[in-house]
Amino acid sequence: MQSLKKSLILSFLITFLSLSSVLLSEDIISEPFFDFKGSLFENETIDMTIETIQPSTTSLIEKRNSVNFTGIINMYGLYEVNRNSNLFESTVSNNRLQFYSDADFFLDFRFQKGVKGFMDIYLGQINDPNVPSAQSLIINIKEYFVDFNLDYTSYFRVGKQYLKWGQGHFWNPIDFVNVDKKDFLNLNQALEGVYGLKVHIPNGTRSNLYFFLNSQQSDEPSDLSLVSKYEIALKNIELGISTLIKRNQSSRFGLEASTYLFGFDILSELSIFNGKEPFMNGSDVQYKSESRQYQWMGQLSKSINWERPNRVRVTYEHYYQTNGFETLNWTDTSLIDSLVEENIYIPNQLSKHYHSAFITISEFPYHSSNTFVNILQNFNDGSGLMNLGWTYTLINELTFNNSLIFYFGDSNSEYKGTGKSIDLRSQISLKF
Amino acid sequence: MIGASISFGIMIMMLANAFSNGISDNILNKMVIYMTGHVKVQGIENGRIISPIFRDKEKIKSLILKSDPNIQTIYEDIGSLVRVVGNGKGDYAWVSNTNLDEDFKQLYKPLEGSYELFESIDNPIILSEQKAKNLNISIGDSVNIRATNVNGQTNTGTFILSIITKNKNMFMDYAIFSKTATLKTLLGYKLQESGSFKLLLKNPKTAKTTADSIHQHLSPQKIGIQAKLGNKTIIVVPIGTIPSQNNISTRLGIKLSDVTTTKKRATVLNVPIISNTLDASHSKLTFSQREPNKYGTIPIKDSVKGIYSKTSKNIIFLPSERFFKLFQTTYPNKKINLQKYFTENNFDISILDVIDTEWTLTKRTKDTISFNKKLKTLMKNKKAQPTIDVSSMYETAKEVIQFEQMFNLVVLSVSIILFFIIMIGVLNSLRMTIKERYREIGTLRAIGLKKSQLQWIFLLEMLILVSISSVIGILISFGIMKGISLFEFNTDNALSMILVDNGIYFLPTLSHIIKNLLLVLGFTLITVYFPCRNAAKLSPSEALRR
Amino acid sequence: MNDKTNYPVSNNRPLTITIFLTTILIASSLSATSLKLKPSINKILKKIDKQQTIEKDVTAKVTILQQDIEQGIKQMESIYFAKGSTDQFLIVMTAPESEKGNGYLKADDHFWMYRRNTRTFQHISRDESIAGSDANTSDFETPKYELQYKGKKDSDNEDIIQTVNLGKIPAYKIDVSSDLPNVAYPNLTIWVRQDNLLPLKIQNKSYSNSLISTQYFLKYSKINDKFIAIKQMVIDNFEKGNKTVWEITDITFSPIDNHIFTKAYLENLSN
Repeated sequence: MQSLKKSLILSFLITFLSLSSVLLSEDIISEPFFDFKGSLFENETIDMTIETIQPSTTSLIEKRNSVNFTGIINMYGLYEVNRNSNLFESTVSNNRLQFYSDADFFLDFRFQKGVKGFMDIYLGQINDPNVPSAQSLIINIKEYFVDFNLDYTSYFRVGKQYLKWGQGHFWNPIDFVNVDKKDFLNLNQALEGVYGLKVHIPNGTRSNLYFFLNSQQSDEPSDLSLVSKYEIALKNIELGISTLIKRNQSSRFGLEASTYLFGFDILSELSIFNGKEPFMNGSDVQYKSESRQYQWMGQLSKSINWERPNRVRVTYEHYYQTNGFETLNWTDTSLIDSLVEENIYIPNQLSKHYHSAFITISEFPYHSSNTFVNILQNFNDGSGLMNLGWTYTLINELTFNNSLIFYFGDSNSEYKGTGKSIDLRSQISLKF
Repeated sequence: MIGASISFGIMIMMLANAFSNGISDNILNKMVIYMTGHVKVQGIENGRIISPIFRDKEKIKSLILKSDPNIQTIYEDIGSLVRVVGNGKGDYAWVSNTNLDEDFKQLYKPLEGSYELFESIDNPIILSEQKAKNLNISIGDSVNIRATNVNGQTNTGTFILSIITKNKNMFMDYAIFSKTATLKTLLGYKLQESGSFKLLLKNPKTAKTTADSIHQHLSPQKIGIQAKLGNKTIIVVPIGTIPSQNNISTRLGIKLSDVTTTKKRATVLNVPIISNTLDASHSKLTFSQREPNKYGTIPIKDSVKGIYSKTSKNIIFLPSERFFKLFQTTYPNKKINLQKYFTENNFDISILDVIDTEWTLTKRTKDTISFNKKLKTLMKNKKAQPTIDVSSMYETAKEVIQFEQMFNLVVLSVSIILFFIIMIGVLNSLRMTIKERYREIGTLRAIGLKKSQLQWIFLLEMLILVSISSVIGILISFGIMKGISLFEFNTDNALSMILVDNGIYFLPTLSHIIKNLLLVLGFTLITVYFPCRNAAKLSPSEALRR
Repeated sequence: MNDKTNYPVSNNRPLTITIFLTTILIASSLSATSLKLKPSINKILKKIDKQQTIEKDVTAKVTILQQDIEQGIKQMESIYFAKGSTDQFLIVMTAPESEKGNGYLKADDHFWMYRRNTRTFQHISRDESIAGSDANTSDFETPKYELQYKGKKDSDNEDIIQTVNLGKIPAYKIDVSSDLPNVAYPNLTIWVRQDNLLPLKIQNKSYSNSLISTQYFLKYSKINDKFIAIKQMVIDNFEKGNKTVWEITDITFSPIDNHIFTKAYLENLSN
């Protein structure tokens, strides 16, 4: 603690803490099980005997086989205040109240020598009179994989897995693997994996080599794709180079870099690939080049993050893709259909420019609670959404999350095209 | 519609600016002054930046006072982050000294207790209403304080609550006060020592210039202390690092073979002394200490490293580390101005080069970033020789200013993002508007208007629209500020730190208004220019056809 | 050393690390023959220093139970790997549930934080600070009692060593003090076992000699001929009600393979 500076900022933190603790002090219940009172420490409890014990021979973690069952249960309440532009004449209120819940159950099997299995079973239930009860229950195995390694020199993971490929906060241009994308309104949600084999070869602490053999929707060997990445930590920058190789498809190259400059965490991801640039002709997707002519295209995300631990965190991220659309009529459902058909549709990633900002103020307005503002906007049509919320942690395992989501923009824009206007969203999450 | 959006946008910008500006003003002008002063001068030893100390406070004080007529008041600043424990409850606080001067009385209005009570006891303490509540204590109760003293040791003390103050905002609640002498005991300062000096200026805006001037006046001198070896008067001087010792050995003509003493002790202590005056009959140098009739000693017999042949017989060279540790523990009294002494006694002036100065002076820094870097270097520099740092509030109040900047950043980023969102929306509707007016464009082109004229008409129209809506936005923002300021918030939570007298404090400035206007105008010009140009480029027939 | 837990730590992460790095106390081997003569104070202090030296490689499970008057009770559990020679470490949290699977990896100037729920490694290259906190490596230096403290002597210049019973255990009680700067507690009262000089209780006192905290060594075990304080407790005497108990289990000193200090291994351990 000698290095503890006579720092006022710390003092402010403490002031916040102490103030908030005052606010909450009545809620603190003293727990009797940890009460060492009376004669417990009047010298009797010091154990005089010194037993000789054997050092554990195997590594701590690999001592025995184990099964671990954990999970998270979320309950959502959603009130949507809609002003659907297509149904503007309708006098009936289009507001909707919805309750639904979902849960992720994680099963973790551990064996010796780092061999393990993992499974994420997702259960979702929609509580909506319009949905037949048979369809209201969703069961999905988001992940199941087996891990093993060759004498800790190379690590293998085979099965359905979600890979963290890139460090971007919201956009990951170099993510050549995953299909499931982050939900802007639920950033911490467990995502669905893809089938494949991951190989991780660490080379010391500072550099790593990764391969992923993607077998998602592969009928024959030629459908497989291979993604690889080399990552190295240099003086104050960590760099990663990745590639995607797939037969009958042009390769993709990715570069990521993260560093710390002038008090900001800066990271950027760039991917380039050869392909055909799509454009919309009415509701049809067409390509600018002839069928055999390709052109280089790219996606770039830049993220800048500024943080005062346990006080405030501001992240700004900008996303740009050369092959993005500049104008789209988002109320045209057949257009969206054809985008999906052409495998182009990726939410929050169709237009040329997007930007987002994530601001979290910790322990504000008081202890155990955070206030956040997350904003996402499509640069090209001006529409966007703002998620203004408040998280309260009752105990470590139980959190409440309340947020107001504002949608803004023209009636045929990306975020307003759905007719949404304001959502009031509550979420209770229980971890176990 | 566009006009309303722009008005709304500029209103938000105005509110945000005035709000954060109000907070800055509140923090900078009201808090910082009392917390760190406009200019701060501090002395650091052994890299302990948390406990600045001046061993000879009067000397430094007089040097500072001589340096700039702009100095209004000079305070001795004793303070530390401490843990306070009241009736079963603990809290952190920043303890400071106060002489109950008028400035203090102005800022901290007593709610309970009295100045008389404060004066009448040895260990009084002043707390805010909020702190007293946190610690569950009232007037006359005692609190225990735990602090780390200047020597890095834990120390504790008991204090009696004598005044409870009602403070204007939460920042002030954090500070607690006691008497200078009492705090000096708690924090391990001797009477002739001081913490940093805090200066209030007549004109705070020139704090940087004043700091520069003080910096100049504090340029360090070579130092020596007068001591006695038997009956002989001797000057003891510090010499610095090893390279300079080698340097001095050649300069003074030391033969290492002359080292005749038991090396063992010398290595154990690692305190070589270089001297030509080794007299076996006297194993100790004696010097007078600042406290009357007290004498310190420097054992020399066993630690002589070399004997030199040139120059004066009356100088003993002591390694810097050891020399300055003497200062820190024994306070030698008689300091010598070596420059003068050397000239008067016709000594080889070049020897002065290898002698250390009484302190070193850090470079002045421009901003918080470089000041922080400086602090880091100071922290790593664990030398016993003191380092003096002069900084203005723009650097020292870095934490407060950082906090203020953090707050501003959050407010500004939220408002800028909102503003951008609105403007991007405006831009899109603008494009639509122009498209809708193609027919009009066609007509205008058909009656003979030139492209450039047409472009100007559109731009001008937009500029007028933007200007009018901006002005409306600004006016509305003033109305809202006025309205909000009227509310009183009686809150104890974290929000109260942004309040002044329980109200939200806005401080709009002309420069902000102009900046906002220019920003909006610039943004509109850039965004409108291209659609306007494209529209103007259309041929009359084409425009009419659309 | 243990005073750290009482300080305001703005961030939970460095707190945890700080505790781990200062918690493993290992006693060196001692001959089984009991000491008949009173040892010198210097010898006792030397013994304590020797005991606090961290071995080159340590693997252990560390459980910390912390009671804070204001923040209530916290239990943390982690697995800790440290390589003394290269200053590398790997910590994986195993409890509480909210922290489980999160880990910390350090090598050279690089520091990674692993978050289990997002499977991300956050790379931090800020020099000397850990996770943006005030904690840095110098905080983890072990105190050198022998150099810092001097025992009290009587008129014959003999060490004052009291022979007392701490509970039922025969112990020596000594008072030592330090006038050196940067020694947090200028006064200590130490109880050591008479038979092997292992510390049982240390009272940390301030410059004005008031009691700040008391450290109890509740249980020792002998592993590979080395004594280890496997259970310790610190009671805050200044602010009553704050207590911390450490327990170390599953300890080994076998050399740790370099493959432990990799992202892959941490990820494999975690999820």
